[in-house]
Amino acid sequence: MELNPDSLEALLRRAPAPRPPADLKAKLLRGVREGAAPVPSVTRAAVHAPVSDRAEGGWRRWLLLFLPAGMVAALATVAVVQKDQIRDLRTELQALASAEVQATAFEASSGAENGRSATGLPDERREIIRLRELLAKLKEDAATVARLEAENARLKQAVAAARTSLPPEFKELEDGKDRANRIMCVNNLKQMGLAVRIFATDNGDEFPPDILAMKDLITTPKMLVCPSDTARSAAESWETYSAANLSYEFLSPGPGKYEAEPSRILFRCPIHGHVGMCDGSVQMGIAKEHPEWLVSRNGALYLEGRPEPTSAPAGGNRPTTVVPERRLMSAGGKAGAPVTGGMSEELARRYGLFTGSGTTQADGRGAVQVLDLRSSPLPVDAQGNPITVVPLPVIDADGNVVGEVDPGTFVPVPEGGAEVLVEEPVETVEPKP
Amino acid sequence: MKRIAEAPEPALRRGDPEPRRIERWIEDHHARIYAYLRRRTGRDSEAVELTQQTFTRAWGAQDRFEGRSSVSSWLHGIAHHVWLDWRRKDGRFESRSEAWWEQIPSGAASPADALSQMDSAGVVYSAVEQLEDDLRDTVHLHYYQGLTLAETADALTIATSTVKYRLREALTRLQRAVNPQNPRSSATPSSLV
Repeated sequence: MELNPDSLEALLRRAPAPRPPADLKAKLLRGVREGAAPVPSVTRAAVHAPVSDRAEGGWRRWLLLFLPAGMVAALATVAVVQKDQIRDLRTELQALASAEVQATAFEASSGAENGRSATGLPDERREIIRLRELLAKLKEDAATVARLEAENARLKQAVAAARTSLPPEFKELEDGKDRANRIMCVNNLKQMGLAVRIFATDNGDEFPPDILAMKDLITTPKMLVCPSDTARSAAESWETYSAANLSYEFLSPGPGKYEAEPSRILFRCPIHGHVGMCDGSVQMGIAKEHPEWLVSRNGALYLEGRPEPTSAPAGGNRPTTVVPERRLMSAGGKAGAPVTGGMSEELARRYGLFTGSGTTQADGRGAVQVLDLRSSPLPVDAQGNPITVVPLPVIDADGNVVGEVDPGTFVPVPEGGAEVLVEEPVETVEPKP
Repeated sequence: MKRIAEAPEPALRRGDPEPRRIERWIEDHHARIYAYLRRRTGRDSEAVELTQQTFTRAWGAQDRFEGRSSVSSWLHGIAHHVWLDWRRKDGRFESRSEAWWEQIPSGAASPADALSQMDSAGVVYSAVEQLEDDLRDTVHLHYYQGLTLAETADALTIATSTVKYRLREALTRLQRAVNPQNPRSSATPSSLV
């Protein structure tokens, strides 16, 4: 049974054609003549579009998705406004309380004076009346504060209840957005750290005194605002930039040469707790999850309280420690030395690298296993190979940036590790047994 | 499939009722549209209902038909999307068996009989139903429904070159299905060169 293309086509063209029921044409014509058919005129695109997309799947699906979100946003807005009102009223309350004390004292002294003398002072009387009015207003405001506090608590409960009743898809959306914001925040800190290092290189290792000194090195002021910081907005340009357009805390401003202090914190995100180090690396969530690891000394903040990571299990590539930072970075050392000797444990920890097995090559390059150290156990692909997130530029053997992997892109680590270039000379340290 | 000669369709002014026009379309095309939907759904009752839906949509949108394409391709485009709607509505995924093709009602002589290739016909028609959706849609409209390459492209709102590519791909796969002993066979009929 051999069919050539032409006979195959002929066979297809002669496919049996089902004959319509005898009454179909009459039924169709009757429908037209009786006017049952007319429907509102629609566009060609609408004619071709699925009915479900036009009628049901369209606005209803989005409405169902965004209705709870809208409710939560509205309740949260009301809660925030009421919180502001409560704060204002408390301030006023305190002012009035002090005024009441003054009024009482004044009234007592005035009454004593009146007792001695029949002639009262009209100004002082007026002041007493005014203070009494203030006192009445104070009591009224105190009642309002109590009422608003109760209302605020009720709204907070409603917000919490609404959040728990969100559909799972919306929760996934929220989680995804939070994760994207965290990654964008890390990226901002990395870019700012890079700008600081470039500034230092151009200025005899001196760190910049402020953000504006780096305006030529930072692509856009938008990078200075954490994506989760709803209280601040990014400056449109450097001309309009002010401290109100900066989410991050600049903890190591110049003058000073801080690059030699790798554990010194350069930037801190008050929302996510990410910290950017003076060597340009970024540690995720440290300030929020482990504030006890931050040590304040001589007016600067250092990341020094973190316990040393334990080593990987023998014969395996999976570290047991969780280091909240990962980075494609340099490694290497003397030719023939074990890769683990190409980088001190401290350096590897700071750069989020886990050095795998292998030996450094003659040109100083080493096989380095780059892993996502944020999670433990590490994610693996279908073949059981570790999967990592590589958010930084990929550097070739000549030190050129040959590519960039977007944050969040999962890249399977090739067997034997990834080869990366030594970026900075590090002292060779023999691996611990 | 015998093609129906079409008179040029003048563009209808918006809002201008012309009941005779839709009646003429029903007269000329209802059998082909029904055949298409009957093949796609596999059931008489569904095919009748979807044919009615097709002409209902055509009636509602007739003032948008500007005559730039043929009525046949326009109606087939509507029918195709009516069928897509029907299939998506309840997550239906049709699968025609070989037996279905053998039992399919037709006034014409079985092509298998006519060609004395009963085995081939059964295998080919069954293999068509195993193709991916886009390839299958193209085969149905071009070969089974007899639309030209341009009309098929218009009905599916794709480029003519895409239709050719899909047909070549479909024929290659069908030939492999028919000639399993020669899996490397490729099919490029003279009509698609």
